[in-house]
Amino acid sequence: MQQHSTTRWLTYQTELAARWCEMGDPLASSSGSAPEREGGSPPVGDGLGEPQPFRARIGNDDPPELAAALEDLNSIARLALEAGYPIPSNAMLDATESMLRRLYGVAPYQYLVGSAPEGEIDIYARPKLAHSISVTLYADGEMLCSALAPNEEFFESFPSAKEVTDAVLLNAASVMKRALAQE
Amino acid sequence: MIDLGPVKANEMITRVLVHSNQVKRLAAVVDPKAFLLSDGTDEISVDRRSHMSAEEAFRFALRTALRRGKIDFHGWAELSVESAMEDGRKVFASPIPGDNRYHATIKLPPGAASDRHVRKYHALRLASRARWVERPPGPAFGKA
Repeated sequence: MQQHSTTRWLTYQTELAARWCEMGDPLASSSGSAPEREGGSPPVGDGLGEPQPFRARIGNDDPPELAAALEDLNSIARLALEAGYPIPSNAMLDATESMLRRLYGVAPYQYLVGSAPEGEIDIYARPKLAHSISVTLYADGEMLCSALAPNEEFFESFPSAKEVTDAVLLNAASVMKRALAQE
Repeated sequence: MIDLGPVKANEMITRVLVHSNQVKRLAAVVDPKAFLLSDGTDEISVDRRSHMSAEEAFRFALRTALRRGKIDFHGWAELSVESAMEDGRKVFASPIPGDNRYHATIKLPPGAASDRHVRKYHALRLASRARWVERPPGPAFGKA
């Protein structure tokens, strides 16, 4: 068992190192209103060549409930490792951070962010019992957006993040707002 | 083994949560992963909580955790059979002879096993209906 965990951890570290090499400077593609990563340069690890895990860009202006959801992102890799799930790539975590900020912008609920058995990442809120709003990002790029309530629902998949426009998120947000207002 | 009979709509059923990443910082919220099935499966294992004493619920949960390679569990996702049966799902008693007479199964509608979106939909629906029940402190409970 210990041997298994050690092997997985070493594999994780190797994968992380490979990802940094593939990605180059992750800040080059950062956009939106998210704060810059501290120092303005890619993480350099401990100086011995070991890459650092993903860190969400949490700014002082971020509302506490959004900041808490962003903090969830920082522990995804560790929790995925513990549960034996595929470890999400840093690019996927970046995409999740961006989607979380967009979703929170139109539907400001208390979101939870976590990975799931097939490597997907769920952004999920339950504003009230039997009401939920979520976006799922799959490792193959597909996305799922939903707003589920007892008498109303929106549930749609998209081949890539590009298709999840602001209009789609607004639609999910309005379904949830309407459902909550009815009760 | 005493037969508990068919499940009734007003019964409460529970799903044991053994992974730390199924437990979230918002106490009232059940993570949809608690009900998310892997590819090729369409049956969710639950226990008929209404028929169990608190001690039995604890003991069976601990046993479930051990079988999944954990030494402890975090709590339960609890919901009514009525809620579990919405959206075309079925709930039926599925006692395991000599092992767990409280065992029951939530079966997803046909086609769910091969469609990750459908499995996700049902996980979201079930989680949104479920209540998080935290594991009680161990030592006092654990004594026979």
